[in-house]
Amino acid sequence: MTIWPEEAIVRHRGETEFDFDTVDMTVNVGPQHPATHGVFRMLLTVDGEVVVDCEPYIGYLHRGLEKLSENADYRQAMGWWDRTDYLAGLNCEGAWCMAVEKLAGIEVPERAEYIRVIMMELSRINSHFMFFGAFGADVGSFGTSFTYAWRERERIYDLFEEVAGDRMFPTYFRIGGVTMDLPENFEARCRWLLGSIRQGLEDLDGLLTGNEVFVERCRGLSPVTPEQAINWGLTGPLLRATGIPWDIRKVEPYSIYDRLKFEIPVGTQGDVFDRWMVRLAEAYQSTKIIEQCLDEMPKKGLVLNPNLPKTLRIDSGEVYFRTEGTKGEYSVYLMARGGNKPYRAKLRSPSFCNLSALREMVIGNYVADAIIILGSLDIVLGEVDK
Amino acid sequence: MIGILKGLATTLSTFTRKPVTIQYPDEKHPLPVRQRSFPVLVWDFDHDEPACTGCNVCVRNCPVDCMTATMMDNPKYAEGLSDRRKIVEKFWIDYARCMRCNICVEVCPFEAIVMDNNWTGHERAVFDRRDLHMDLDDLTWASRNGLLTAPFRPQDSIAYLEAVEKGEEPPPISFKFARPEARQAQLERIAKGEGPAIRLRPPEKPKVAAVARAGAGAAEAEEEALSPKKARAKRMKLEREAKEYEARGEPVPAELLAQIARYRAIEEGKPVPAAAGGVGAAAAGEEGALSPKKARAKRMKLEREAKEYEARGEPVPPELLAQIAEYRAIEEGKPVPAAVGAPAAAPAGGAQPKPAAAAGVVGDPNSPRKQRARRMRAERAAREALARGEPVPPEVKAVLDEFGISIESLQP
Amino acid sequence: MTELQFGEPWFGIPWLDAVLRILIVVGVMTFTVIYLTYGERKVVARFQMRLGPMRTGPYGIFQGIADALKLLVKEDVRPRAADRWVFEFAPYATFIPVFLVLLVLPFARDWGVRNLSLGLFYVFAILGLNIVGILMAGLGSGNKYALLGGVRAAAQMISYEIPLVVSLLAVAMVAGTLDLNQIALNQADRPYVLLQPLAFVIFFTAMLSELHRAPFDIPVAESEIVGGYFVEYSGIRWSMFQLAEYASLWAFSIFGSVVFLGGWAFPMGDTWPWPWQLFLTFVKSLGFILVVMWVRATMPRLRIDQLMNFCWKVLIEVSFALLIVNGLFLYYGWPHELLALVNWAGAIALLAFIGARGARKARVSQYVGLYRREGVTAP
Repeated sequence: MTIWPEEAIVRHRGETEFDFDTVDMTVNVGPQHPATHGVFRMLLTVDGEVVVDCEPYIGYLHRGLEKLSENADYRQAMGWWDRTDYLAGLNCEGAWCMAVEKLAGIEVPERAEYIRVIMMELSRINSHFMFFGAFGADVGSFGTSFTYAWRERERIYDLFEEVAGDRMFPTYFRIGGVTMDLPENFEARCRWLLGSIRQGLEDLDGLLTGNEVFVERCRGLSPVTPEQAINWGLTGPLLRATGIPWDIRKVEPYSIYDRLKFEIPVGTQGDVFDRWMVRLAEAYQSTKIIEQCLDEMPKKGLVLNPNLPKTLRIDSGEVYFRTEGTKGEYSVYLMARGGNKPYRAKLRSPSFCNLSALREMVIGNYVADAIIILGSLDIVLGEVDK
Repeated sequence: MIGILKGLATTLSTFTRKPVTIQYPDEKHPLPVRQRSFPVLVWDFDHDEPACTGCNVCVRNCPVDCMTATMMDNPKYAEGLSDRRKIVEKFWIDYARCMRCNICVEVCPFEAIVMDNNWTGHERAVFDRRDLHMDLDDLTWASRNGLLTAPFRPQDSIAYLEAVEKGEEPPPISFKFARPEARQAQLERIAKGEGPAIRLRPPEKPKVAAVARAGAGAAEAEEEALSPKKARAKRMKLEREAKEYEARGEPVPAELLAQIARYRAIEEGKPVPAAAGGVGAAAAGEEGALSPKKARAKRMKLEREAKEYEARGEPVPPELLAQIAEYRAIEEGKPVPAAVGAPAAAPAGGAQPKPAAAAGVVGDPNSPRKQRARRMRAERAAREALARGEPVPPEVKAVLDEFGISIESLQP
Repeated sequence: MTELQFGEPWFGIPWLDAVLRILIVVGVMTFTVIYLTYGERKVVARFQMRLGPMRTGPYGIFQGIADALKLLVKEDVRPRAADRWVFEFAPYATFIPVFLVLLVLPFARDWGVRNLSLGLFYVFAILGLNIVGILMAGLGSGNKYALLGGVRAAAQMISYEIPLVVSLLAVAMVAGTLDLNQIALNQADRPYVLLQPLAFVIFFTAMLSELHRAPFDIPVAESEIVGGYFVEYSGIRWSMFQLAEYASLWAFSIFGSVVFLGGWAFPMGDTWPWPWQLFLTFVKSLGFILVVMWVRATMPRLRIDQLMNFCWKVLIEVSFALLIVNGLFLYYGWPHELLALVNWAGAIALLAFIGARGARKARVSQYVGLYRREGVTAP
């Protein structure tokens, strides 16, 4: 499905630097492609090596999340929402749970809040490592960055398996807390994991950040000014790379983020290299958040609100709950009109909004750079297509 | 150049590190206890049956509708080998649909379904998607063969924490009947020759007669307020009991047949035949056999109907009030006032002569349906005989005469 | 013809001698190429902290053979839009020049297939024919991706031929001969990499580019135009492209070790017998291959215009400067040690310059570790 109406697409015919009468070639970066991070189709109109137009096609992963959520009660829908941003499922579950809790006025015990933040930050690290791996592969370092990133991701998944039972789709959070308490050796395991994550960040940093070839490829590629970023609706690391220190965890803190001390890395030019650096730094800051949580967490306590009704029914109300997802502002709009099922549940997914700026960023660059720019947007199609 | 050299140095350092590969299937990393693969049903080793009663709570709560379950009466309950009155009859889970969210495990009230946390639960690759529809045998296979060594329910953690918070005793360990210790105990029992299930009580006789008598007698007053649907339900229940009598080869008690007939009459909107003579005696006899609990239940039912009368603004019939007083007396253990209500509450509409209920025949043989069936059978038999060119048998001719159908009209 | 042969022909029959030698070389090449595919996977896997093939045979040593067998039985797909004869002959046109190069390489003292007194010249003349095969593949496939890949590859290979040739000419000037056997013999006391390190650096870079190896592998960029010029080939035809790639890797390694590292002669090859010489050749070429794989596992790839910029604006200038300097020193008879010194200075300058190009955009080394610092903003 095309996003833009036909007349908005400008086609260059023969407007090159030379006086040749060239014909533009259409290159289809199709839904099955190693570089497109999921089922995403991009129709590039190419003049030689320069991209003159780009038409994204999405919808290959549409699963009807919002409609399904209308037919499921608040606990059943959780299993679908953590499949939107499947690389950071717990962030999505957190957003959904917090939205419902705000709507219904349910309190979450202290220990559960800390557990939630630890899990959400681990998911954030997980998603950023996926970016490092895939981006390195896009840029061309033949899978080395991939395996470095995957080593850490596997370890994070192992920890999720020990805590929640499942690796990728844990369905761990519940309205009013979490499903079960952490296992006994969690703190030791988590601290070891943080050490391993930091080593992984070192490896990736050493491998790629200083590499002149990498810098040559990425520096100065598709710079974005703050005004452009705000006009295009970019959020998350893309916005922060342009220089605006906008992180919803600091601006509108939810859960216990107002108690935690962490920094917001920002870039200067908003180009691809800045996005890489911002995500590296964010992953590091997440490790610091997790450390603080481990230190400050109450050692014992309830993890699920004990006064919950057996079936949660919300009579009326609507809420728009914003969270800082891994890729930007991940927000849930929830409207209830009685009963145990939501009347309307909408997801404002960051990848969808970031993707709409792809065309502006890609036009005028080379084909190889188009792939890199797409990689630096760090989209996940589960979010885009819902 | 420094950056490139640093990159090369990083790669060299990883060259010297131990590879992180686990070579599946020769090595498998140990699965934690909380690992969820797919739901399996738990086998109760103490009673040698599935722990599932078919209550359908998990089926209703499943987000993707991947389960189907039916319930049946548990024969082991009557034999005294189990405490479960109902047991699962059929259970299907479509593993291709299951999203392993754990909700079914959380909501099960009987600790009967659990996520398989072994490698066998994961290694389910099949060539045909239909092989992923698991039925009861497949689902209980893992538990029956002792593979579930450490079943885990999320509530264990929560309940433990809540108990600790309130300072109470931690709750008992879950899945006690399915753990390896229970399985070991079962194996020992079998080795000793005691049978696989623990005997709880001696086998019991079915309570069909008492129910039939109770149904036939004192609830007369409520029959007038019965809707056809309710009457039909009651009739079908009694007919099922009558079938059990027949299955055992015993004659069906007359009161049962009478009650069935009366319910049918109500259902079809005909005037209700008078309760067979033994009403008063049955009522009195049955009231003597009423336990306080049953009397209380009947009283509350009648009181509800009395409320309906009041809500409609009509005066409550005195027979109803008398019956309520009777039941209250039984419930509280006081002497029963004379069953004046019973014969006086003989239903208006008088008795309708009904043919004798032949033994073995259930229901009224003269109902329109049965007559229609007889007629059609006779017509069919006549047509077949005529098609074969044989004369029509005399019984068939008699039935046709009864209905006034001539044989000539049936010629092909 | 006698100056072509290495000593007496076997069995006294020249053509039989040639055929036997060719068979030996081809046999070794086949075995080496199959095990290079396996070796690359294992080596790159170890750089990535994983194991590589482990299941086909103990430690996966039969993986190369399994791959070859699989490719043999694959369906031979020919696209309808493909220009038939161009499509069919492209793999051969790519592979044959590589094989021809192997004919003049000396594996041990006086052992090769044939010895040409113009050996060096012959090698880089023949290598140019590779490009024809690649262009045929790109154009004949009837596929836009293949076309893009083929054109990129052709441009890249033609451009990088020049620094390659010029750097080798510089070495030839110092060696005073084009005969490969003689060049190896001249290095019996010290390898030319010590005398001409700048030529070595240029040669190494240009060799990576000729082999389509990272960081110059944009024509076969898997993540972008999946496969490039051989995307439409399947089965045995595709395996011929891979064969050509690995065989040329091996040929280049031996060539590079002969010209720069002393081949069979350094350290003690001219006095010790032929097993030691073979061993030296083997070890040096293996070292070359390992370094090439190491670079492949580490470096991201350059974009086509950056690649061309690097060649035309940096490498060619430096290589011509090298040629001129060499010529001046040799013509005026200035001492060789000074020449070596100037070369070392040139090599270091070139490497530093490659690093400093990043400084045009920003100073690169300060980024490393930046993510860890507090108050972090990427400048």
